Amino acid sequence: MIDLQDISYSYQNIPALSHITYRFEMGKCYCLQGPNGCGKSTLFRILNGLRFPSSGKFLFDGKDITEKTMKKSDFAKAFHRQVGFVFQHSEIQLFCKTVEDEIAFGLHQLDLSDTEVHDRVEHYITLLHLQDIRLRAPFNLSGGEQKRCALAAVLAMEPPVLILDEPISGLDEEGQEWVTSFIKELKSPDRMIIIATHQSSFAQEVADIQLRMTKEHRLIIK
Amino acid sequence: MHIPDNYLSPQTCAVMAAVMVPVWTISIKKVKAEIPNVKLPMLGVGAAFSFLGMMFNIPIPGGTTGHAVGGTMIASLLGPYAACIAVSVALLIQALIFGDGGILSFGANCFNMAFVLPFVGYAVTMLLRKKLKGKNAELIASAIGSYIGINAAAFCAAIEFGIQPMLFRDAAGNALYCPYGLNVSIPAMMLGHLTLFGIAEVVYTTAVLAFIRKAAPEMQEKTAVSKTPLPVKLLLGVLIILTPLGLLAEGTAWGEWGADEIAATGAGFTPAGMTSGLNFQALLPDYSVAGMPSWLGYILSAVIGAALLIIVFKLISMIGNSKKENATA
Amino acid sequence: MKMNLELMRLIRRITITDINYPAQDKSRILPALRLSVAFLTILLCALSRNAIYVVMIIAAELAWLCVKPPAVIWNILKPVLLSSLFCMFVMLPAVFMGHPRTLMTVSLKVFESVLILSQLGSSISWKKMTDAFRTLHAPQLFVFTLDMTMRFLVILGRYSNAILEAVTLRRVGADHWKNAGTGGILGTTFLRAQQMSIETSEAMSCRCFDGEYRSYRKHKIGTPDMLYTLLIPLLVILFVYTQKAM
Repeated sequence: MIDLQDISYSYQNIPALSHITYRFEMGKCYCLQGPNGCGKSTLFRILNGLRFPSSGKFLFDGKDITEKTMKKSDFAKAFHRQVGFVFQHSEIQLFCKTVEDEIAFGLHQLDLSDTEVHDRVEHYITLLHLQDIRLRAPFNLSGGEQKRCALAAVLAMEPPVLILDEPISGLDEEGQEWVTSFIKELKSPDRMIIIATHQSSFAQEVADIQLRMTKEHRLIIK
Repeated sequence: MHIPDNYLSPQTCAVMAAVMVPVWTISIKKVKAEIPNVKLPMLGVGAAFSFLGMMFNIPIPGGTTGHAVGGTMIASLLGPYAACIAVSVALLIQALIFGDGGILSFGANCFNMAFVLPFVGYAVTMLLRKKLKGKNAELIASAIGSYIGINAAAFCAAIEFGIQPMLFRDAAGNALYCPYGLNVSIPAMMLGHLTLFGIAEVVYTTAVLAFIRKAAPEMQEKTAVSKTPLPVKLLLGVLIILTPLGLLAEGTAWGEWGADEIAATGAGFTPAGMTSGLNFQALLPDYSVAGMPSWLGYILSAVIGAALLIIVFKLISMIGNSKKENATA
Repeated sequence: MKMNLELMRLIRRITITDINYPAQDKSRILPALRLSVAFLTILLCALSRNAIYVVMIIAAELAWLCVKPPAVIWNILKPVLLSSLFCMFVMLPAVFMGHPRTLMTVSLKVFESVLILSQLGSSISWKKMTDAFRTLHAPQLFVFTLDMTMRFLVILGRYSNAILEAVTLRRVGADHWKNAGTGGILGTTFLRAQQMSIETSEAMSCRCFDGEYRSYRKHKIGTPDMLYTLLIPLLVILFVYTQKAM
């Protein structure tokens, strides 16, 4: 599904990724660990189509994801529809004025009917326990609430690939436990989950395959 | 009883204003100490009642008109110091926005209607409350108190008018300001107030107090109630709608003539102080708007005046609250 | 630091409005309708050649205002008084030129216009207000910019406050704004704002943003809206009548 072929990336001559080759399969949950500055976030941005490798190939479902191909809006939209990304800092990706609007935002872009939008929004509000805060502004919510809101907003689009950047960072113990059990429930043969985390215990609990990025910006299997 | 500008000499006005300064200061201190902040908006309601009462002009034979003031009524509910502040603010709004009562003579008007009236009325009321017995003793006491209060105020106004020709004359010997001496001013003012206007004050005071006693008794408590009860709001609304009745009384009140009217009243000349004195252009002069039927202008003026008074006192209560918050923080 | 205090007060107001939404938002009328009526009233008052219409509207507004709690009254009146006083100051030369009524007329109209808008802003939550513009077919970009402004105001306000606190804790010496490194704080906040805007646009493209910016909740038109619509012909008739009276 996701094929990285000898990917390298450097930013203003500073290397961030070095010759990474890996194939991510559907139905698996991957946990990526590594020290600060090893390139986890950069790799995730490439997987999301927000950055493009300096060398090598990134193939998604056999299609080459490059700056040129992503310039076509239909292609980019189709790609983003397949990949859902929850940022480390949820505040960044929550930009609507109510939680409901946030969840409905992506669905409106997908040209779904009003009934379908309504059904999905209600479903994910219930699933992520957002009923009490559905009319609140996301930027005024607590860390845990923002995380749930971001998850709902991304999951509502039902992407087959889910990428989570440090999903339990900044959460209290209860919040961490909730996210952990929720991710376990999300695992299914039709879904691929890729998680970046610092916490080994969390990785051990949820991951099917544990990966590691080294200080030399290389990807190895743990 | 509103004394317009140029009827009293600037010296008289200055003296009256100077007398009022300590009165206001003490009243403000007392109000701050005795009335909780949440109850301050009640002063606004009281001021609104006073304002509306002053819009109902009553004619008497002879062609002049007068009105109730309601100062004793407020004093009975909230105390004389609160009444002083409430009536002062009502008079201020009347002077600035409606041109009813002068700017320079503001001190004198406050002395009469915001100091003498409520304090004398209150003193008499309290005295009688101790002496009288019976179910309606309080109402009767307030009624008599208000009658004596308004007449005391009228007497003070009469004296202020009457001494002008004695003290302030031009080179020719003509009065510069009010041309009528004590021998005219006292009978003129007292006749109306001992009769119809005094009765009007009694009726207004008794009616409002009785209404409050029946429909909103919680307002009589010193501490409770911060929100105006609905019956009181309705009464204010009814009074506002009825204000055009005050227009039926044609003729100007004694001592409230314009510079163009005064020669015809019997003086035979227009005092120099009036032709060349302060000429303040109010926003809604005489409670009217140019081009609008007078009844509509009257109602709108009543709405604006009452609303402004309530707003002013609500804002004052807020200042008090924030000061207390800062003090305890 | 006073500037920061003012900013924090504003953010607190936005946060409190958000927490109390929609309970505090008692108006059941379609916000776009209220906005239209407000604009119409302001326009008619501006066009009025006499004071009758303006005084009528002011009387109605003051009657509405006097029943509100003191804090709400003050929040509404603050901008009104400021703008009216400023207008009177600007129009002062009219008095010396022999047209004192002009000062009064213009100041009254300014008073009335700002009062209507201030009252509208206090009774409709900012969330519904932007929806009102959307209903009135304002460009989606305009509505989006309004929403983003509120969001960045709060987020960047908190961010700059955090930096200011850090600077205050590290400071040695007198409590003076020159020592606060205000330039640095503003500069850092600006850079953060730039960074955040890029990140927001990336987040939006991750969710397939192609220009659609709609609201989820739709207002159901009911009897209160129908009755409120009657205000429009009423105001126009009143305006025509009062103009003829002159």
